[in-house]
Amino acid sequence: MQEIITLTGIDPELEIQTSKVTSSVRELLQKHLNILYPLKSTIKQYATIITGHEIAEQTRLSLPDLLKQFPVKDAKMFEEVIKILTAQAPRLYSVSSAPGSHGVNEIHITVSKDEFYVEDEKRTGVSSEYFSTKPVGTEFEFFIQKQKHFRLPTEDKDVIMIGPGTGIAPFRSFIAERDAQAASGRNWLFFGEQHFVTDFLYQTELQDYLQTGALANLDVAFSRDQKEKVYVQHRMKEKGAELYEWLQNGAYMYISGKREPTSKDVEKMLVDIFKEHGNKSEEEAEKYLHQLVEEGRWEKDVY
Amino acid sequence: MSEQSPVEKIKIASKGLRGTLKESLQDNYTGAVREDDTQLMKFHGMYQQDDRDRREERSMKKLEWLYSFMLRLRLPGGFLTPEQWIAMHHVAGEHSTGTIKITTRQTVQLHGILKSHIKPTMQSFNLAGLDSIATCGDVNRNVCCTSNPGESPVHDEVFQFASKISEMAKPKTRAWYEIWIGEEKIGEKVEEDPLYKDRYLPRKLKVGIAVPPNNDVDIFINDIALIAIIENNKLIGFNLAAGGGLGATHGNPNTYARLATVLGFVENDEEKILKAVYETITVQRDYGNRSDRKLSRLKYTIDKLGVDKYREEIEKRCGFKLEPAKPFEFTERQDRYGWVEDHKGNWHYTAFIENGRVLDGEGIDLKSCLYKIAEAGKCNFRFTANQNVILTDIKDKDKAAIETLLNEYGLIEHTDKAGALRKNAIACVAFNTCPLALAEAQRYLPTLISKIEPILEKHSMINDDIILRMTGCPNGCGRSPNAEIGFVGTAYGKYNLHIGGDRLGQRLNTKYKESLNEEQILDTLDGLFGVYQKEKKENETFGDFSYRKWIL
Ligand SMILES: Cc1cc2nc3c(=O)[nH]c(=O)nc-3n(C[C@H](O)[C@H](O)[C@H](O)COP(=O)(O)OP(=O)(O)OC[C@H]3O[C@@H](n4cnc5c(N)ncnc54)[C@H](O)[C@@H]3O)c2cc1C
Ligand code: SF4
Repeated sequence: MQEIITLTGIDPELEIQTSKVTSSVRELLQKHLNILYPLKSTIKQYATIITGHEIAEQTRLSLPDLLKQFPVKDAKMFEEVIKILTAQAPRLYSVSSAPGSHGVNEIHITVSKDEFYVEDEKRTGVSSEYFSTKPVGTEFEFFIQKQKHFRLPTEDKDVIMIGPGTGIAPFRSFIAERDAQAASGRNWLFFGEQHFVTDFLYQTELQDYLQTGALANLDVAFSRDQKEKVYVQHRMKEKGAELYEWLQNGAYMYISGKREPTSKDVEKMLVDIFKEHGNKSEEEAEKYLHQLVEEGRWEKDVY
Repeated sequence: MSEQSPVEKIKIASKGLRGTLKESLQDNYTGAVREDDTQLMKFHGMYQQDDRDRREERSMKKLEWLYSFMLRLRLPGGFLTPEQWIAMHHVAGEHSTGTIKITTRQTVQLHGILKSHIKPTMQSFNLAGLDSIATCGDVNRNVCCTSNPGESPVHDEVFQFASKISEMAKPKTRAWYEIWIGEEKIGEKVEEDPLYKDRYLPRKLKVGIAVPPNNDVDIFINDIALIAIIENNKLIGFNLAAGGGLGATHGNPNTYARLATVLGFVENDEEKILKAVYETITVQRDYGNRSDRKLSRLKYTIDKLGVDKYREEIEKRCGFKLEPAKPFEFTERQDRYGWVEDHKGNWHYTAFIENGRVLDGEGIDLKSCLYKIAEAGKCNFRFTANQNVILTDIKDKDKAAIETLLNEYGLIEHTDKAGALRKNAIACVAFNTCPLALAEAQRYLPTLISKIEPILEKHSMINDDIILRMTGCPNGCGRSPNAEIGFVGTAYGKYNLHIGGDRLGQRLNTKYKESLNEEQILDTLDGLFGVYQKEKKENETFGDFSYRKWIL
């Protein structure tokens, strides 16, 4: 924010009215507006304000970078820019706690630090970075978005959960809740990450669940621990017969985590498993998967 | 009879040391093996350990302790070919912390092997003709033997007995090959093992062989000891001794360190010698304490039965009598650093390796140096019980080439430069890997020695070959109980000081001061050295003097 103020010479205390809020420039840049990764459409509008510069079609830059490469004439012009910036979008996180187990006064989330490179420079995601820098005791504003579909079945049903990376979040909640319910249905978790030694989220909790029987099966894959990459879908394949048997028995299956590439690969693998263990043709296997979706027995919460 | 220890049940139920090890390997949600299997792992040459420095941090992260395995090779007499050295070098780099640790039993330990890396590690060793069978656990451990062929013309003949005893006392089960190498199990039956049966031994058992006049292997600390008797440059047989062992437990007066008692002499007849060793083991197997593991070593059995009864029992089982022991004399207990030529004209170079840790950095690239030497393929490698390495069996024509490599890496200078105290010192591993450690040893002793050296200098004792040893607990892995100066950890940063052991390893030391911190250690030694220098008799070692002055 300081960089933006220096670059544009705008008075940080100046009150500006945007489509959603009226506040000081300082507050707006700090809290309300998307300055780190403006939308493509925002950049297009930006190009029309500054005039005199051609900005290529697909450009996506943070506001400071934009201001450096394509400067505004003066503070006045920057006021116009502020008005076209969109609001900071909310970030959604799956709740990883369960009232039955962690009490009704706690909500846990499981956040992975989003790190990426922009032209060889390491950057971090706004919200995940924000969490990681705040001390214990920091207060946050948040809202709760209800989940309609991604919910536990009745307690007698078996549950298969596929949650690589932070995809484990909702399943930590599921298992804790099922444990609290003393559910008679069995629970099976597939988890994957890069390294066994450092990245095994909730390892000791899951081991305890395995000990007590709250988890019937726990299968894990760590992709970077050996030469060949091993992912959750490979563990599913290894346990294909058992997995198919669970489904035949009426199990509910869930996947959570990154959409690409995992959830696609997992679906491909499921089709293979149905072919092999259900003696199905490609078409029949796909139909079987589809049927699971229809019956609400194959739920996805991927992002 | 009191109830047998839980380990006894695990052994009996193990179906030839198999247990559920295969299943344990498949539990990929944990870096540990199943509880009972942790006992069986030992018989396969591994200890499950964890990084104690990181426990707290990991618990906070909901990660289990950082489990890994220490693996110990079976190297009778501590011998490796250059090809085997190369294989070991690569395995250490790919699967362990990278450090090759030479142990006080002339073998090698690799630390930090994750469960998922055990099989590849074992398979690489197997390809190199090496294994880790029975290097831990309630069995005969790695057999030690005086290591420098330059010591005596009969060395080679004596040395062969190390391998023979190791083979004879190796468990008969094929479990090691099935579990780690993937050998098919033949049939359902568990192999017959006439020596170990299904209960193995009550506790570990150590066998050593010494070639006088050098007691470099510290022969009297072994459960079973063979002392070569040489007349006119011929091996005429061995004195057989039994009942050595240095471990004790703080606060348990029933436990104690003990040196082996010489039982008698066996003539140079291979069958008879092996038989005598074999039956010394079976007596321990049958009479050893199986309910209290703290009292189950052979030394307690021999004291319980009485030395004469133990001897009679051996003789009865052997079908022959032990002859009266022959006289022998040890004159030293250290490695012969530098070059030694043997009677055949071959050369042997003993290099100093502090704490037996072969690694790069820390002032000298030992690991690269030894790797280069192995690649040259002109010498074998032998480990000493003082945790050093001897480059052996070097032809006269190859000596210069080896010397060049040694100089290139500064190993000759490194060996020559190290002070006498440092060269003769031993420390056990203790923190951060040994679960029993109460205080630092290996990580701390080098620093302590640097602080003791100026005191020695002050009292003109810097060239004295004083034997100093440190262990992180009273278990005695670093053989502190028969050192001239022994430190035994009692709590973090605190050590009991023991003095009065002799230079040759034939008398145990005695506790002199309790729970000293570093400052108190240095002060105390300063005082003791001062008195020694003033009052010693000519040629009296520090150990003998302190025994006479302060212990008797
Ligand atoms: C239903 C749902 C559930 C979710 N559950 C979880 C969960 O349980 N745990 C969890 O950790 N996450 C979860 N997420 C994802 C989470 O909402 C956030 O998307 C994530 O934390 C990243 O947000 P951020 O603010 O840290 O990163 P952002 O700053 O929003 O960046 C996100 C991405 O945008 C790109 N980007 C940003 N700035 C630039 C730039 N200047 N140049 C080029 N590219 C850029 C990068 O690719 C970056 O990875 C969930 C998402 C959804 C939709
Ligand atoms: S002496 Fe004690 S601390 Fe040292 S290695 Fe042995 S058991 Fe561990």
